[in-house]
Amino acid sequence: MTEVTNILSKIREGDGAAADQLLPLVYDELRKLAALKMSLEHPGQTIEATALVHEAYLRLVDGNEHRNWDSRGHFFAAAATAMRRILVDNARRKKRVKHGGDFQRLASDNVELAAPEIREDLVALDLALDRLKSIDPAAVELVQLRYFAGLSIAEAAAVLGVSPRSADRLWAYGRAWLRTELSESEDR
Amino acid sequence: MNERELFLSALELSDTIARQSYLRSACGDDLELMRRVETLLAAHEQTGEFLDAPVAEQLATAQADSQTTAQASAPASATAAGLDSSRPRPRSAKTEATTGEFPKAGDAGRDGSEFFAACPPNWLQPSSRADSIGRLGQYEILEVVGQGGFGTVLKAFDTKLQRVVAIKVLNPELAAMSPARKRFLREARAAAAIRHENVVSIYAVEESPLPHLVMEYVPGETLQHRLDNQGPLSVGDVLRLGKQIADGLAAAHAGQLIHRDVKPANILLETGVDDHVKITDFGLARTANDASLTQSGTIAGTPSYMAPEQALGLKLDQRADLFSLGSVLYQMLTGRPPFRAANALAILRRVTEDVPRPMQDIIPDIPDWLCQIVGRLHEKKPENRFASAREVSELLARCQSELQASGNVVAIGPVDTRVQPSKKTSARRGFGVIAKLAVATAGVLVLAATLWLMPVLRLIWHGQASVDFLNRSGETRVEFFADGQLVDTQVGYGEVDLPAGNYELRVHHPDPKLRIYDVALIRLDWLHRPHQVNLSSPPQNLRLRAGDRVQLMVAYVEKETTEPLPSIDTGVDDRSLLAVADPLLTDQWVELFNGEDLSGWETHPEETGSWHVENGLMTAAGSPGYLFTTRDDFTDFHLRCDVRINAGGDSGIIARVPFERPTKNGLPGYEAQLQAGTVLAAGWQTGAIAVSQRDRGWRMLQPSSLAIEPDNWVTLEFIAIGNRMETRLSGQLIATHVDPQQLFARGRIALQHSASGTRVQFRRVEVRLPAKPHSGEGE
Repeated sequence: MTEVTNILSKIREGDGAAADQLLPLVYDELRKLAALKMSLEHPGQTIEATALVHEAYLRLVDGNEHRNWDSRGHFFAAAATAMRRILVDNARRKKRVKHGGDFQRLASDNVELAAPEIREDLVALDLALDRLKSIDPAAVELVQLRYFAGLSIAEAAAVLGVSPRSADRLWAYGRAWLRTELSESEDR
Repeated sequence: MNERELFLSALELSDTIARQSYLRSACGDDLELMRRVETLLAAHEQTGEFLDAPVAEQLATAQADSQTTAQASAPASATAAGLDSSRPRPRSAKTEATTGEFPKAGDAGRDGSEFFAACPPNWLQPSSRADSIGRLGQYEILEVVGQGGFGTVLKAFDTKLQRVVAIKVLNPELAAMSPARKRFLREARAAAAIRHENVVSIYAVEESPLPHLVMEYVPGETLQHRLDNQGPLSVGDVLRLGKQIADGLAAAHAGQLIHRDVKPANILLETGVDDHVKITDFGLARTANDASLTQSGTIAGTPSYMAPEQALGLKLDQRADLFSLGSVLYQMLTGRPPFRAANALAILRRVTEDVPRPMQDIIPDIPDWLCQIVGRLHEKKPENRFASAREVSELLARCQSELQASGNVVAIGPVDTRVQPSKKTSARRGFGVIAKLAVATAGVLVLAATLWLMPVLRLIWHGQASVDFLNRSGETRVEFFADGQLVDTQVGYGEVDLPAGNYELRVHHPDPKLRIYDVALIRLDWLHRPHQVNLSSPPQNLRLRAGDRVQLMVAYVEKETTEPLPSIDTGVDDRSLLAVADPLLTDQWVELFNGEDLSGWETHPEETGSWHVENGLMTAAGSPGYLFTTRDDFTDFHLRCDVRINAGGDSGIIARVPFERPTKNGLPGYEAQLQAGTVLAAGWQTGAIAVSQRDRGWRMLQPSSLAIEPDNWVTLEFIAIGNRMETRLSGQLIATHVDPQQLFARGRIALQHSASGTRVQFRRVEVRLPAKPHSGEGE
């Protein structure tokens, strides 16, 4: 049994603390996978977040666990958080590079997601998500699954165990909240 | 209510005034909260793509786009000529060419220098005008405004008619090829026959010195440019512009012309009070194909907007343009083309095989009905699309006026040309009103009733539609109004044929003692999963697809009936009928089900249903039918059972029934309702007490709003003492009722399985009875 499978079965048995052990493993794997992809693929090909998460899932979790939807849900939630970290760290680094700092670190880091123009300011979004988490953690989970892990609303709804309609509504709220928060922080 | 709940409730109200008044009353003195929710609502309404595209997707798109522009600029711009102002309009070409000399070779680029270099000498005459590049007949050439794979577009001044025109000149290397030259001229002449306000007019087609056509000059920008700069458009703009595009196509189609390359770069938006659509480049895609053959051997144009039959090289008709129109609408709504891939071949494969990503995944606010329209345009088979551009135009116009009139589009019915023969039969049955709408194609229905006592259901139905109408109450009358005129009335069971129009359905019941508790419009899809809208909840769209069944259901209660208990409340037991039952009944529970077989039970020979024992569970799933106790003298009893039911399942326990074949009215008797999910009108949740009579159908006596978990075991109790009844769930009182008429005094107990999508299982069924079993006899 892989370590991740083991953790997933612990979570299923009600061990809430086990979920915390999941994130670093998933994060590491996603970073490794991303680095591998970047080195193998043709230049110009980029990483598809959803595909990456699926691949990490297949690699980290035993085959017989694949049918367990609960496990999938926990895994995807962790993967979405990990994707958020990877992408936000990347954006933060870009920002630093723009301002001339930390070039050394960038050069030595082989996980470089090409980030031409992202509409949203990922660094500001990350901070806003942290604030939203204290008010509405479910909305944050949904935004992570949708925006960072690339799941559709319907898929994210299934992971969260809510109806697509509830997810739609939660999405509307989360999006409006974040948009308000970001525009207010711009105004400041 | 917290901020999120307030926001979501306000969001359900489409009208801003309604929202404001709602917020005022809900927030009370908390102005800070009200301001906060208003800010959120404003943020929600704001257009733009904030968070809509997952970050990785944005990365991938940015990559793919930069590649496409770098590698494939030639095919991408092959037919993009028109007056494509999304490209820069360099004026350099004219600066040194005032005498008709051509710019020097090597001035490569989009300024037309290559084009001029390739042109035969002296095709332009010297001009005396300072701002002119040269003269072509009566036209002073002013500047190059567009450059494509098969032609170059020049802005020119018509000295005879004293107006600015655009001239599209076939590229010299193509002009040298006889077939391409002939085709260009033929298509251009056909296009010149179209005169329509939404089509760029062609004034003249000339063969020499180079084949060219003179057309209307449209100041403004292309739709492509607009989308690039502004992102997705509002629903109102999409309807307005989309209708104009459809109008222009309809005009061309009426002249037997297929555009073949409908895309945002070929749609010009003329600036004015309101931008006005002008479609350009009719039929020229074929010339573009000739062009690409001479160039790279690849497919001309951007295949992102091509119809599948076009991508496959099959014979085309005008419906190919409708597919492309669907792609254009998709891009207007979401900001991106529906079919995207790294290269043209991959795009073609997607066009022929894939369904585009749901628009609501990208922008969740796009209304369902609009997704339906685009979906219909995107049907892979031409015969499944709308039949004509005219039809699309009319549909969009109706949506537009509906949107303007009411702030939202209430309902879009299918546009169905198949007219079904009217077949009206009458069979009086009873249970509220059930209308089955036979839905031939996609559509949307909405329940927008506001009047409590006489609900008006608004139904907008486009095209011919056969409505299979089932009225199961016998006394409820449903009237169909179109434009205020009564066009049909249904009190029976049969079909209603509705031609195109806006309808209101009004529901009446002659019994003044009854009031309508709720109306539900329920769609059952092919898996029997229910989807519904209810009068008691805010208006929502109900999406209809081919093969769905739709039922309209009205739930009545007697006027004096109390409101349902909102949830299990331990404080109400002092009202319980148990206080009466306990002294009357013994403590002995008698098993009605032995856990092995159905002894003690029977089904009616004319409707046996699907009752059987499965793993020790009394089970019904499949064909509907009732399971009766063989014992037929139940009067006062206290029944309890463990039961589970699937989502959308509808079952119940009927007391004091005769052994007779069930009708659409079910069985005459008192029912303790059992259901999971919301299948029926509000109030018909587990524990509701209802009554059915042979000629009157079901009526709710006491509603319940308690939703139980599907597929979970619950313990349901049903107590009947004299004319009093009570239901309990998991030991708690749900509903209690006194029937002054005492319609039913004695009979069997029956388990209901009335819909084929229901799966219901009983684990334990037992009763306790009066101490002296037949003491109630003869009362």
